[in-house]
Amino acid sequence: MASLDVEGIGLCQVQNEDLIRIAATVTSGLEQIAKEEVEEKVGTKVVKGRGRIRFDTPFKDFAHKIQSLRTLENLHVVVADFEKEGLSTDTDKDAVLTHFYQLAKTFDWGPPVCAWKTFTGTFPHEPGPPRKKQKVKESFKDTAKMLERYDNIISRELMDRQDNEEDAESLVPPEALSDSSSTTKVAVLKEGISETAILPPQEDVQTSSDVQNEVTKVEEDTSSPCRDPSSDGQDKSTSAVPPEAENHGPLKPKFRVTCNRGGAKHCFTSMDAARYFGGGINDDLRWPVDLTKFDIEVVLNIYGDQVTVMIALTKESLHRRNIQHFGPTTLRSTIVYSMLRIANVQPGEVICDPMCGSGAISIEGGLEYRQCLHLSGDNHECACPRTRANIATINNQRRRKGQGVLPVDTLRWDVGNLPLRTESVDVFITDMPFGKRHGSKQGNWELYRRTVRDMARVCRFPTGRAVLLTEDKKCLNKVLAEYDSLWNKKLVLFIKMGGLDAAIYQLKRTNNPFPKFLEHELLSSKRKQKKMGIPRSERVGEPITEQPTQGEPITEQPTQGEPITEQPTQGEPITEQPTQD
Amino acid sequence: MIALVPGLLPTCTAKQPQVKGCTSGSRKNVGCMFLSLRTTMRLLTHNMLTSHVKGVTNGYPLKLQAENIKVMSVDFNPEFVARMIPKLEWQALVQAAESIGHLGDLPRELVPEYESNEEFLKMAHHVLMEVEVIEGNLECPETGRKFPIKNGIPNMLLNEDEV
Repeated sequence: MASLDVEGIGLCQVQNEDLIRIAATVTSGLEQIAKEEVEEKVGTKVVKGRGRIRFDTPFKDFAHKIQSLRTLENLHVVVADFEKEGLSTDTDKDAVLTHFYQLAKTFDWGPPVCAWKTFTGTFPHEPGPPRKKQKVKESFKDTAKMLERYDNIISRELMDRQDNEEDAESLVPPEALSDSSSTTKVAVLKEGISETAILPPQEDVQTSSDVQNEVTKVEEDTSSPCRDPSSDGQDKSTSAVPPEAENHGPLKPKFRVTCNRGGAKHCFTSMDAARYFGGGINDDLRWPVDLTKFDIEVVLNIYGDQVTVMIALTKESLHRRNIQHFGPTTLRSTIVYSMLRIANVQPGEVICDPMCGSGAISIEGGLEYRQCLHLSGDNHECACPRTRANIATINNQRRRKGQGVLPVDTLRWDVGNLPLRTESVDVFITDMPFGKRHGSKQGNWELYRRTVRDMARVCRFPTGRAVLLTEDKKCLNKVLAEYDSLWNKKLVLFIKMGGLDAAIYQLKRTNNPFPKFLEHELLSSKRKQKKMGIPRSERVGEPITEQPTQGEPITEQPTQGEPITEQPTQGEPITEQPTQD
Repeated sequence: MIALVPGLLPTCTAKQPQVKGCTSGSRKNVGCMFLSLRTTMRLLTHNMLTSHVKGVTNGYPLKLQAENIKVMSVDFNPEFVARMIPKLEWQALVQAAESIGHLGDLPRELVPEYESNEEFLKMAHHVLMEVEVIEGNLECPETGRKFPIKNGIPNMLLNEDEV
């Protein structure tokens, strides 16, 4: 259980058995994958929405549980969830906004704030790489320059670390310590937050290093998710000592309100709603407002008549967790994990990303599937050094925590002519160029064809699999139809990626061995072969053997006796579309 | 764990003593020091590679010529090694390890029931995961085409006339 004294609420307690409701955002189209993951790891029932899921979990150890989920992007704890009838049709703006102003009073803020404090205390926000656009080509063209920059970062980190070790055994991220002004600010804030720290009167005249010590102590205190009863007893005794404890009164978090509105034409804007709702919290709970350096972000979601009030647990989407050096088309780690789940990776398999870019797929794979070998490669001169820099950053972090290095290797190769042994890879997982930011739709025809063909050669049959992500579905569909003797399309999942309608294809290698004559064949399209006069029986895309599992062209079937409906439906793609409601 | 961190800070702040396997020049020294923090080409990966020059019928295994080799300790994961061995060409591994002089006591033939033989798995782990090539060449056994390894990244790209 946890208890917390919060300004405007008073002492609030949460028992270990109390259920808290978590709402999380997911990439649209991957809700089912996220649902399966949560049900597997947390063991609770999950309700799917569009681009979001929600579930109830007991308070005990919830922070570690939900932190281990890899498909979720933004985590929130739900304060209240209700339907206000007539919200979407109401035309009296003042009345509606007054209602929002009065909302804050009606909620039980205690448990969600406790949950927020527990989560952020256990997993403090570590800011990721800055979002400003890099001049990628210039900064990564010269490998040596890139490595030098990387070395500087490491040496700075290591020096910071040494300083920390001299001061105290610290859990504070190095950024917090390097900047003394921000440190004091953090310290002041933590003192306000902490109800356990009993500080001596001379506390105010401390050197900055002592303040740092204090920060670490406070962090260690708050980092235990569930405090034992004895410390709770101490809490009460501290509040009974007025002169010193005045500075360390109830938690007074700075907050902001973010409103998302949709689903109907309301008479108010999202900014109106946020302003009035925030005003209500400010007047009622007396929390100070800060739009940029906030502690708590209250999220108000309005969809039609449905209103949800939540507290954000994460300040930044969790999809940025692995990558430090972003490329122009770096894939989100959450989507990568979903692709790995779709591929159903087994321990001991060889997994390959032949178009790795910044290495997002191999890194997430190496972190989550440690019993597999991950190979990554690219033909672009910037890609391999960038991948390696990302891997090195992760390895460096893991080493500090005493964990092993990632089983990932990087090579430079051509995806249409892979320098890999025939039948040496179990699973191909890759994010193909969409032809928008990278490559072109026209170039995709040749690229996709060569990729699909060479992957079929390297992939172990019949257990091999491939999971491909692309936006150029037309091209990939045609290419897969050409090579239907080598690949079976099992599943197509349509997802939304930053406004693009992409699709994840789950492919399975068929029983047919890779035809010999294709091994060094570049002209492989049916049309070109037709031009070259290759007989139909030898053409690519035609079944090599008379296997009943193949989706053979119906025209070639003997028409009498055999009804076509008796054909097994392996060739049929199972299509799932995100619900459009 | 990598035996890199102790004694590292003095080297990057003040003097720069020679690190084993480093070439001269202060910048390179710093670079080499941190090379162990990076991934390099493992013999495990070499075992998967083959020559793909046009017309080559038997391009496996690639000959390994190493100029700069790094041995670093990696956590021993017996399950991982035992699962990887069936995916390997054992003879090619022995050949590659021998060519760079890191065969050690590794048996030339695959031991039966290696899954439970921890001593064998440890030796295999050393060769597969801990010996890493930073600079060198991979040579096609049939055509003699060389693929350079730079900073641990083998460049397997072919020129247009070779495909």
